[in-house]
Amino acid sequence: MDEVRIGVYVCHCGFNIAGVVDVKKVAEYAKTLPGVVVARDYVFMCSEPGQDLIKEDIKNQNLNRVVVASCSPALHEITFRTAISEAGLNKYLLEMANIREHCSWVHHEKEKATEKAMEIVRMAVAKARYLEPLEELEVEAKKSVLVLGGGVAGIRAALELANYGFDVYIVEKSPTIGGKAALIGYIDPKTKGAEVVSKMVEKIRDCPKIQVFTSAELVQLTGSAGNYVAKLRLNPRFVNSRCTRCGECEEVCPIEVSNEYNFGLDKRKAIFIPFKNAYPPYYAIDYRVCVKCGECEKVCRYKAINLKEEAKIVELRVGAVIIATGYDPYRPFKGEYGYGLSPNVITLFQLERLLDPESPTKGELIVGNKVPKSLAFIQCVGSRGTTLGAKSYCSRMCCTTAINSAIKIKEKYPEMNVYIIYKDIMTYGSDESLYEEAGKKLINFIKFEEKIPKVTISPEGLFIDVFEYTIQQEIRIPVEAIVLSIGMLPPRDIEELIAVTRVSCGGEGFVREAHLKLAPVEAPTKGIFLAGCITGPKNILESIRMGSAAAAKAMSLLSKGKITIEPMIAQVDEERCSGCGICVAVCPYSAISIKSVNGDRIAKVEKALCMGCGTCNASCPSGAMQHLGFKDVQLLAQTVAALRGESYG
Amino acid sequence: MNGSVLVVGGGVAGIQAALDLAEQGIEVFLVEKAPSIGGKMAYLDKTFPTLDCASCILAPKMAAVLRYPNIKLLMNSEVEDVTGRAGNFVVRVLKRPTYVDWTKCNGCGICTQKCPVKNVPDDYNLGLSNRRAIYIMFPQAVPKKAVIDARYCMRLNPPEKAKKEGKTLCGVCERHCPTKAIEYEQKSEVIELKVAAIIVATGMELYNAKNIPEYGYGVYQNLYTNLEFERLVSATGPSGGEILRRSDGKHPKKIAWIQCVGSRDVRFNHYCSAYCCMAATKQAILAKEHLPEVQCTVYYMDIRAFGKGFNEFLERAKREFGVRYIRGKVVRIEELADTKNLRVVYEDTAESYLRVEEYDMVVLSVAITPNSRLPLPVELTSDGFVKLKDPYLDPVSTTVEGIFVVGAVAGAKDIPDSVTEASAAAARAALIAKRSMAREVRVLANGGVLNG
Repeated sequence: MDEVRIGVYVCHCGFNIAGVVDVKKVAEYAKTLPGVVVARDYVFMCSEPGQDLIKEDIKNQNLNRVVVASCSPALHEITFRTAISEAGLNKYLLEMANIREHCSWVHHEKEKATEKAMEIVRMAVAKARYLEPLEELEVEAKKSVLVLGGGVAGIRAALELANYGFDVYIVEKSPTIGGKAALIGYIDPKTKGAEVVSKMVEKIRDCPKIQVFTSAELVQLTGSAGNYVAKLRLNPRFVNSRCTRCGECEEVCPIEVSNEYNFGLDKRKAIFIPFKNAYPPYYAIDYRVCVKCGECEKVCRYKAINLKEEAKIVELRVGAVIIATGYDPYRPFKGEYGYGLSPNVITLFQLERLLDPESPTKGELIVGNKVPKSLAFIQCVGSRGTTLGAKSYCSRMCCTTAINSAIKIKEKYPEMNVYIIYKDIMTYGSDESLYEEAGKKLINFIKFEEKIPKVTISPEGLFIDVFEYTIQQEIRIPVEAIVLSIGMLPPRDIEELIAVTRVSCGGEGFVREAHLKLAPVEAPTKGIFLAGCITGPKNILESIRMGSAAAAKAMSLLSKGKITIEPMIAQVDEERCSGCGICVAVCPYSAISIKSVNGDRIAKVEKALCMGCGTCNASCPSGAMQHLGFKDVQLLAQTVAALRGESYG
Repeated sequence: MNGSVLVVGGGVAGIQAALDLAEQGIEVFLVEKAPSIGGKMAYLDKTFPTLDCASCILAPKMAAVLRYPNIKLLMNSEVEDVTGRAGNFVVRVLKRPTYVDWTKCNGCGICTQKCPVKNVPDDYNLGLSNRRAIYIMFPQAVPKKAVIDARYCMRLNPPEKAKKEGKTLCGVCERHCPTKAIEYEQKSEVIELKVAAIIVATGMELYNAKNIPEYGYGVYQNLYTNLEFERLVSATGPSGGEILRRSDGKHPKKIAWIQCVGSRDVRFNHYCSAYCCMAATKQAILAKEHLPEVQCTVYYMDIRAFGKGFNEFLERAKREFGVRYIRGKVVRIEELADTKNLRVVYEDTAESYLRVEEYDMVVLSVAITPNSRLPLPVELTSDGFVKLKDPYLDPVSTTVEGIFVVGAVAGAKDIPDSVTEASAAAARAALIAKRSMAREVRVLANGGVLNG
């Protein structure tokens, strides 16, 4: 190895680091460490002049390793890697010492924090001595994308991608695409949810680049960005495209179940069409409830039904995956604000169905068995920690949806007394105009705070007792119908989604994005993108825009037909490998296999598949499996520096 | 070749759009009226709800803009006129003089220390501190280049007497500049660009709080806008991150935030500005972090904690930091002559009483107004935001084909929504640019004349 010449750069990060850590002292200390030829401090190392400092030193002082003591590598590793490579150094000859998140942000005592920062720098310098230049890898990328979820976000993403010339596969669990937006009566004062969705679905139908798999699930995802292999299970629909929607099968079907597409307002048969503009536009049999009596098959004149159909497995090769599997409505427990105890207590989603002209009541607001004279919305049901078991977050769309529907109700039934019982009205942005309009329509707004409203069901009718915040008095409101503005939950099958796609979740249960502020449609794993409510509550417009953005990001990743792969992956020392195969068993990405080399069994790593998790490295009994960038010798040097203080080497 | 895209506005939305386009190999012209990109996000100390340091997450993106040779920055510039149509827009950009040759300036900052004119209000600190007549907009400015503010420069705008006598004054910066970059003779120029598509990302300004007479903004010393407060707590701010009162330079003991200043008010703007509830919550937490003894109170109408992690952030402010939230509209603010403290007169809606409370600092959570008065043929909404053609079916398109709109100029929104839209629009614009380029290549192949 050539003489090691390390430059150490200590960042103030404004006051983020310099407010707690004595950065000058850290820099002075770094100069005393073996191999260090220059050490400097600067207010913002990531700024252009900060980077220039490093670049100039590399050129003038012949540095061959760089240590930057600043923030987490998650933020600026790329910045500094690019900087040193611009100065002619291999970009993997950089080591970051995180003295912000790991030190200044979590400590207050200046002296001790400074001491810790010095130790962190010492460790980084020790590791830097053993850094090696690494080369990036290029792999071919497929210009096709798997879109999970056929709601508005997924459809929008698919349409955009098709527009860019990509092949798109939409995988939808239910027998129709359209998602929940199709079931919302009015999504703004003038727009019906069903109309918007039909227009989007029409475009899907006319697009040869998009293939739709309904009643389908992703059961396995292997490979990596650019080259995923997705295994789908196509559950049987039992009805094919010869179906003319004549409806005779439905009449003879003996099985009746609650209709989830009307949120349980009515029943449907085991053979059914989810809603008017469902796509594909023909019947489906719910395989979970069908008893295969064969009546439908007998009556069908078009030979469209085949009850012997079985689930099929399909394998697709795609370059990227967009997850847009949406949300589930909050499920109120029996007795929560009277839910389940009276037919006059319904959810916001049920109300949305009732307001849709295609509803079981043809758009009439019939609750129980009549149009109520008075109706109250209760907000934050299941949201904002309002009740026991409620989620801590705000579900974002319920206030606007409730107010929009209240206005529609007042337009249709001007005599009806409408109340909205709320904590804070969340009509953010231009939705505020709806709140104003609601006031003009004489909708009554009643505010509560800590004490939640109580619903009483008695022979005299429904009563809501609420402690009205602005008059600080308990009031009792008699109403004929109650609408629970239920919030959003992560989808029921999110655990399976996590298991298959290896995305991760935040504390509230939704999928975590790569960066909450600046990378909202990207998952931390390269090649996986996020759209719509899977990352948390959104309204329809926001979900649609995320669909567009996720498609754009996927397109950007794949459009060159090639993807660069980070070289920090596993590497086998063939001399040491005994071919025991433990690594093959533990690799979660199936990236390792045993090959015969000159008669010896030796592990081989498929570079494009390796995600650099390090599991094989940790489990190898002979130390043959090394993780580039985190080799044993590098980590040992770092550890020794931590434990033995100055006397490492 | 006409395969390029114009991005108007260099805030976080414009930066994201430019980066996404550049990544696609598209030539991008990024027009920004200030001497640095970064937009409003560059003024922020931290971002809600994660309390991420704003410049730490923005700086890498700003730096990345410089790494793409296909992003052409047009700084200190504004769009004057747009003609043509999708695939073939002709844009005239007015580039104002910086009086510094940026190809020579290396951002060393010597001129900004030597310039004798020291009393120029610093725009980046919103006038809370002074800078010189020649300045670099802020420490992490991209590009980091010096600019002369001609209004204050003794050479460019000498006092009347010197003008009459025909004297040439000063020239200090020119003498000290190690790269000979100063160009007093620089003039405005009009640059004509041919682009295939345009992305409007001009963002927003704060509403002028002086229009609200009952609050006394601009008159009372210890009354700040929320953006001013942001500078006050920032390490790169006027007091290096110390929260100090304008009147006596002392730490405040009681700070109040007043929400919906100019928003949700039929006299000013009907809409909700969407960012301010969480911004005030963040600022109250920052105040407590800087001054653990300070008492923080937020006066609000509805707390709008609608985004991911927002409600949890609000609860944290209440429980962990003891921030007090009072639901009530502030009726007026009065300044006490002796202490310069501020009396906040408000309606406590919990008890329907008019109450008065004294604070030694008050922060106004001011509405946003879109920067939508643009020389572009796009339609606006009644609130003055750029109108979308069809938000459901064509999410980032304006009413003019080939012109897209992203960020706060299309409606009040926060950073993630702006970034999301930027990526969506970039892909759309890239498509037009690529098609347009392909068409021209065909024309050339047929012996046609480029742009003929």
